[in-house]
Amino acid sequence: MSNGFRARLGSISTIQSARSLFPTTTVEPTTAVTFTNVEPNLIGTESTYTPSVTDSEGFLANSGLLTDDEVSDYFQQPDEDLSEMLTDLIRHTPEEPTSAKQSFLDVNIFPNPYDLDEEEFYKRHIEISKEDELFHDKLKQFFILSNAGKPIYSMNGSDEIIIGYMGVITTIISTFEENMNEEIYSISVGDMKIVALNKSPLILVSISKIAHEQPNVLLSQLNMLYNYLLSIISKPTIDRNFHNKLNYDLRRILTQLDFHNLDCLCMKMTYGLTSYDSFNYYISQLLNASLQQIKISYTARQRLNKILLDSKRMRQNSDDKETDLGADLLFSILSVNSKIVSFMKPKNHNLTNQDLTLLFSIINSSKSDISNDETSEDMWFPICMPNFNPNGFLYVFVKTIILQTTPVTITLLSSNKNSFYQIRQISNYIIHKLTKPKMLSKLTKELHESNTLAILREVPISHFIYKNKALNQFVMSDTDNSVNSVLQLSYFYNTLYHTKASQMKTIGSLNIKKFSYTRWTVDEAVITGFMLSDNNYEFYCLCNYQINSKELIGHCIKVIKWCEKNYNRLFIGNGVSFT
Amino acid sequence: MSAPATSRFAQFKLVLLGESAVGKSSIVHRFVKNTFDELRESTIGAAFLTQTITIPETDTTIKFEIWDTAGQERYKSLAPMYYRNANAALCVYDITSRVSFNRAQDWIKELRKQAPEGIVIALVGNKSDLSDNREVELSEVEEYVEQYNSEATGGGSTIIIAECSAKTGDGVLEVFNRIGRALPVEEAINAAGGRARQAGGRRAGGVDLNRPRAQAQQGGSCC
Repeated sequence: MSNGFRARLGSISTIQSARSLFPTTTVEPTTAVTFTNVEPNLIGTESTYTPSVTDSEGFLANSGLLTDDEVSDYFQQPDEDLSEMLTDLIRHTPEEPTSAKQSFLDVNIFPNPYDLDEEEFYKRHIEISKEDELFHDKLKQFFILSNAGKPIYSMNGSDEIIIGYMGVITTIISTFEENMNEEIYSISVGDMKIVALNKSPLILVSISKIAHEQPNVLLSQLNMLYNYLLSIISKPTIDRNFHNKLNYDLRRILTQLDFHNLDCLCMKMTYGLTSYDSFNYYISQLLNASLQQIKISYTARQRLNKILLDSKRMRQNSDDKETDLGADLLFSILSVNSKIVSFMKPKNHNLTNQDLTLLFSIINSSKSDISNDETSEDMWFPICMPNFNPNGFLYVFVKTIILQTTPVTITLLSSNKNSFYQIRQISNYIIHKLTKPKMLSKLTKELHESNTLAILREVPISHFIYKNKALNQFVMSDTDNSVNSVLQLSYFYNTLYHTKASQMKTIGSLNIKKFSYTRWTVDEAVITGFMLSDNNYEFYCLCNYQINSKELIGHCIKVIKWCEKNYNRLFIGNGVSFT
Repeated sequence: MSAPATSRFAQFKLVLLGESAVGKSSIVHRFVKNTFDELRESTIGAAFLTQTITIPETDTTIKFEIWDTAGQERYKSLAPMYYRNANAALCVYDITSRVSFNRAQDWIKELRKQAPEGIVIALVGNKSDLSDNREVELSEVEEYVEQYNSEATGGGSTIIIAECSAKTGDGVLEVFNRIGRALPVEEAINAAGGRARQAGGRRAGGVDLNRPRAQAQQGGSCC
């Protein structure tokens, strides 16, 4: 375990990688706005919360260094003149990008009272442990219990230690309900936040000692856990069981896999750890259940969409009877590592992004061993999609095939629990089409290339996120999934996201541009974070050294323009519909 | 059909039933892929896999279509779909768990009530590598089966008894070979022959969908 952990604790390689591409930075004349002389009139950003800055001297977040006027001037000019527009506002010392591999502990994301090293800290404060010993050291707790105070799930600790808390929680919640006729929502005690969600007959509670986790975030996390329970058991079953017996033990119908999945969800939502798609999940939730996209050419996507539509129309003649194989098929999804490549839905129905991410979490949890041979298994299981229909189940067919080296997952949702063989024929048809030589070579080439976004080679930006607001879909540059990188990136983006943005005065335009700027100084290292948004997009990026604002904005605009230009390749939009 | 013309080919549906965590998926994966995963997560719903064996004496190739079902109670409503057309069932228990043996007996009762007549049932004790912690003796399994067969009225087929270890691989293939020998291969070949002619006339109606040829075999031997 500890060896495995060491291997996962890397540096931020995504951030480091920009360095090799841009070994030298141009030294600009500086107007020397330093951290110490930031004046209040240099308004740029303002934090909506106070990050803990106590232990690290060099650490400074939320430094707004651009003024409204200057940036708005900048945006009113034609883009060709951009580089001429802005004087340097940020102190720009001629330093190399940081070479030191900083640890997430240096960034001071979490308090470290015992001065532990990374591995010890992870074990003591972060990693899920069902032992009682470290229960009180954990930064995050989740509990699910029944109205009657019966424990159903706890992220950490054994029944013995949590049972007392269950009593306290039910007492507090019922006292509020009875005496004040309102639902308790959140309590803050010092650095600790407690948020409760009352979904009678279930109560969900989260306790967080993590400074950057806000009550509204904790609440949405609780909703996610609740939706997981709904997705596997459905609302009517929960209600029925508790209606018959107030003292019902919901654990009886939960399985080991469910507890494992709840553990995974807790880690994903809180830290963006620990599986390959956890960080993507974290960002997706941070961006308001946005859906991550994968780059693929427009024609390839159209072809895949057509395959899905054709498969829906499959018919079979047997015994002089024509059967409509796709009669019960509602949704078809082709995905690569939980990123949707092609999506088919009924004209008047859709799956929400929350439901889709939940579906992918469950599919990934079963991690059927994928192999190159044809014997990879077909999965068939019931699922309730809470936002689609909380009262009933859909039936999911899942099969993953390897196209060269890329795993492509076919997910088909049917309304009929007995339609497996028909749905399997549809899947076979899809596989048949995908593996036709011409399609196969085109698709594998494109999927292979989609891992690296070409634009990143042209700008010294280490990591970025571009979200299309209308679609609620985003693209993000590739991330290395080491514990260290993920903890830092999720913290940086969280801070950037929650930093209050300044609005730019744009005369006569309804398209309001907003921006915020944050810088973290960790020992010798500097990380610059920048957010820019208008009515159509939100753009976030990180840069691993001090960069002057003119350069930074220029690079950001370049990436944004690239994203806009590649709209059809980057975004799936609404998929295709059948009538 | 897809099997070489010289050998005979038959296809059967097989379902695995049993309590959660007795090792159903592990048995299937040992049989299908010859792999074992110590940390396998429990199955959601059910998994569908295929594997082929050859019975040399009769020169017959048997393709198993396998339903590996989740052992949990909450998926029970799906179970009828798996065993409705099943030709064979593997009721699995864990030799170190008496409870799981009792549960396997419940499944046998259920099958006798609900499954097609003539279904081949195997009562298989997994985890034979853990015989130090054995709770279920082979002798009592034999006793149970003997008694069960005498009570079954005109059942005809008897229950196959076996022990295996998905972890070491001991006895896994033997279980499937014994099931293969107990299955009504002749009937299936005759029925499939009739069906094959029919299948030749089958074409996707309306839309030209280039359906994969293998599709013609779908539903092979079930009645």
